[in-house]
Amino acid sequence: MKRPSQRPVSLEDLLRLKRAERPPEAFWADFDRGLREKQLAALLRSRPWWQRWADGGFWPALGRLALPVGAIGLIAGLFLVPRPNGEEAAGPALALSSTENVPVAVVAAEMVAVAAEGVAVAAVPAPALEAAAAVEERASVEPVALAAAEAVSPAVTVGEPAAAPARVAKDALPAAWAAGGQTETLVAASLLGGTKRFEPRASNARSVVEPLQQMVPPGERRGTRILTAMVAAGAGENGPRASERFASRLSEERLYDQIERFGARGAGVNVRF
Amino acid sequence: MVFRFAARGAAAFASAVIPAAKVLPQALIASPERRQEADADREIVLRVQAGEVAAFDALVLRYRERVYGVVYNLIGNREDAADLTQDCFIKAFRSIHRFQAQAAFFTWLYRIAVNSTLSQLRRQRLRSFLSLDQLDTEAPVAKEVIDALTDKSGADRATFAQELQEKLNDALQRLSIKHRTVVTLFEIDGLNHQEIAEVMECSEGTVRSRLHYAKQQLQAELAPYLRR
Repeated sequence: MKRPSQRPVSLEDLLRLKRAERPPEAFWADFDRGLREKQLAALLRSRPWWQRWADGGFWPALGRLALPVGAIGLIAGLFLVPRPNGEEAAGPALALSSTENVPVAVVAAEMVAVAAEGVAVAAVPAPALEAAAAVEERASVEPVALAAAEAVSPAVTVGEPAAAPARVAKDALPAAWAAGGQTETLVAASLLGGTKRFEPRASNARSVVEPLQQMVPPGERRGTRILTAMVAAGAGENGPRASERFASRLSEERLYDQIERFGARGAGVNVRF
Repeated sequence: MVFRFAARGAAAFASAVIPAAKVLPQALIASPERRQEADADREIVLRVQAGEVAAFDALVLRYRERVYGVVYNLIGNREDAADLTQDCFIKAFRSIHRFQAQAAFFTWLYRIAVNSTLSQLRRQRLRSFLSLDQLDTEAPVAKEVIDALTDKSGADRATFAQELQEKLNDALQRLSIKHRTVVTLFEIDGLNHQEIAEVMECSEGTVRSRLHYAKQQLQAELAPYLRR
């Protein structure tokens, strides 16, 4: 009968038994096949974003996001940064809101607004049209025209001192008178060209708008409200009076133009670049 | 053709530049054999990093049994161990561009294996069960121990060996995960304290302490099979 050896057996000896636990050779063939499949799958499968960022792909990913992030920043900048020179879209609203604290300017703006009601003002700012009408009527009255020009100048320019635009308008009026037979378009163009660089087609585009065309479709009312709120927010002084006044005086053509540009349809706003 | 040329050029550039900058810390590698192995690994890794994907197979062939052994001894289930070993190599393959020769490749690979296994053990703590590989009783290591413990032969000897294997694995599974890891790496895989500390990202003192405690617990569990 075989006797067990008297050799001492330690814990280390027992643990060394684990080295003798080995899988059969066939196991490694299956192992290699499975590993190859997983390796190919790993090469083909796109990894989630957190693993790509963890592997140092943060800056490339940020580079891919640069366009949308930049676009959002640009839009935010357009609406949040105060603009020294008013653009066509927000010019009247900015002018009205910025002159609310100045009594003289408020009076002038009100005068211009009252005078502009009968002229069906479209894309051209009301103060310049008022000045042009004064020229055409030849009412005795350079002082009247000058007064009109002086009165409207704060409303035309945004963020600039009122004296400079007024002086420009004064200089332009004699030239317009000299032209005599020129049309209202030319007068308006000469008046506005020095101050606001309006294009002549803007005044040519004015036409008689039929009452039915003035009706706003119900689906675009929301777009109008959103647009008004955006413009009022961009003015920096977003008092309710300014936005309401702007909404009431915003011409149909300009409103449609802005709605088209911002892509306001129904319940959403789609900004185009 | 162009890809091969580019890969060869990148490999040549890397081998010309990197050895001066990224010399392995020799103090971390204990034995000369391990050091030679680490140098050979580094060359293969550089080839893989240069775009020679097929060179990774050499690393798999070299380390698959050792990595499988670590994972198997930690988890005690051969099917799970096979899956985890494959996943470990996939992770290493994906991350090999981030591997820098601050440590030996096998240390880095062991770290991936151990961390993957520990994560798996934490996930399936309540549903783990043993599925053991066959114990080769004729292997010199096993034969000597079994001969010292029993005088049985034939089927009885095989039954005794199986019983001993189950008791041993059961005792190992009763250890905490960290203690089991230290025992596995030190006693079964033959890493030294410094290498284990690097793999487990802890101090050598912690490794020694865990090893001491784990051995105490194992001696209590396996007392019937010990002979002084």
